Amino acid sequence: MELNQILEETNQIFKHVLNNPNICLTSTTTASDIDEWDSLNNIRLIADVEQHFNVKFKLREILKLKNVGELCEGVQKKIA
Amino acid sequence: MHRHNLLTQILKGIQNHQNRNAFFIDGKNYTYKVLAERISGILKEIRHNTGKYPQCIGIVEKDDIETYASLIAVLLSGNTYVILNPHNPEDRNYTIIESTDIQLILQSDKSIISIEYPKHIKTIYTQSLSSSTALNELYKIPEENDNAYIIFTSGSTGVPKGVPITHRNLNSFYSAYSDLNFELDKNDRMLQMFDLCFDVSVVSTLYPLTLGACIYTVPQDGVKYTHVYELLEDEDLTFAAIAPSLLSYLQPYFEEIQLPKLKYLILTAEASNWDLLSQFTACTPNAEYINLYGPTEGTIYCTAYRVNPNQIDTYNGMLAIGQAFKNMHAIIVDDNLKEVTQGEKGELCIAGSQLMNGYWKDVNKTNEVFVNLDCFGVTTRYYKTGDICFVDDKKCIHYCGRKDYQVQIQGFRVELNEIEHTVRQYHSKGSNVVVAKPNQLGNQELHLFLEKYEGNDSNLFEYLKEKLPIYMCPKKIYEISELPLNTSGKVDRKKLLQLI
Repeated sequence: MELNQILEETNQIFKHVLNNPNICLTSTTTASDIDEWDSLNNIRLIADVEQHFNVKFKLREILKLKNVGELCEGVQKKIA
Repeated sequence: MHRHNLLTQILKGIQNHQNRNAFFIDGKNYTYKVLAERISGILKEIRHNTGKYPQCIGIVEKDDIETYASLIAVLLSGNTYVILNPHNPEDRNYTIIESTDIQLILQSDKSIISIEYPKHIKTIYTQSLSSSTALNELYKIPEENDNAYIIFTSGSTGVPKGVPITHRNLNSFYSAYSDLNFELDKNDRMLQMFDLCFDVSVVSTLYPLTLGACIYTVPQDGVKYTHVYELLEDEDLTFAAIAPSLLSYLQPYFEEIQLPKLKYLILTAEASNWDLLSQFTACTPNAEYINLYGPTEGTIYCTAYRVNPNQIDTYNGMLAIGQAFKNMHAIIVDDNLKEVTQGEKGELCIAGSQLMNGYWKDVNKTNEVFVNLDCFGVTTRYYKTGDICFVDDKKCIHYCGRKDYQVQIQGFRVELNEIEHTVRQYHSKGSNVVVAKPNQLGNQELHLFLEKYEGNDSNLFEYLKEKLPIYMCPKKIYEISELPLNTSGKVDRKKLLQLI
């Protein structure tokens, strides 16, 4: 799958989980850019992304993710 | 006497461990020597800008050495610190500044989101101050009756309540806390994961300094549990006080976690679910778990329950809160303020030297929460905690829930009334009710029900975010033609919970 498409689908998940239709993710977006992106929502975001793309991240892998771009790349590698 | 003076012991810690690390912040170590020099530099400037009488000094919170040094410098100057969180709405910070008559604010640098301060207030950017080596000539051990800090908690009228804690309260707490006999020394590595607006941060920051141990801090924004896990594992932390909800985030990954170096795990800030904790024990083979309970009004913690995995005391799956600290007395009373019999539920009331004198400039609120009760034949002032508890046959106190409409969210005590009050400022055409419901992870979430509302949800969200800290903003808004009432004519909160 193309990175752009993963980003687009991830964006939809974020809008839904964070209950904010105005979220517009880029590859450099981080948790500190979005008010609603706290510990609790992070769990949900990861869980929903995992479910949507049918992948599974290890805790160590999640820690290494610095931004949305790395999350999407992680998904891409796992579904490849 | 000196043995139980927290500040004297911190000064000793600084003196005796100059070359050891005091803080580990954002990947960087700071020795006690560096800490002392930063404290001295800030202390000198505080002296320049304050008079003979103690006053409140604002500190703008940031996860850096400047903020922690400022906090200690204010204490060692004999003044009172008040934390201003730049992530909180401006209105809230402004109310706090006004009510405590802050004339001086310490802030690390100009990069922090600035709060619009009134013109007469002087701001010191501490990063620009030069270090000093004259700590011994600069510090002053404050009077026992002077306030060490004021912490603001949620208040039902929309105005936060200030809880002033004196040095007597703090020293009394320190003495009782030391009596828990943790086997800790200068070699220990201890976690500080709490927001400085929350009082567990006081013990997480100050206690390690008395030992010469190193404090590992966690940034307050972003995703906290991953930071905490990283520190625990990568830095081999030996002592950690955490809110149990943090573990619920980590639960899907327990199999990956191994923390053999952890000696003590303190559970605090909310009820501790033993089912979850017992699963975590496999990750911490050498740690003792201790459940510590206490309202801010009673100085951080006032009861302790040491977990013995072979003999667990729980109620509804929640760990017991144990027994009162040595300088505190706890009794459980019914609605007529008569002590209940063993096993019977009632409101927990506490008395003793850790108890605050009263809310900051609020006699009415103070009178509401204090009550005179008989304690071994002597009339004694007790604080009504609002927590429903009972004592079991082993004299162990169990927590059952809140009496009023308060809930605990991310460790913060939230009055649902305060949120409803704020919503009314925006939408007064119909009533509104906020209810809290635990989500799948067992953590409380807020839901707002609005009568006669046809507006735009996101505008209302934006409004609430401007007025309330993010943890007080409801997750979801429901429009409802009429709020359901129960037989006594009150809003039927149980029915609302079923609608979620």
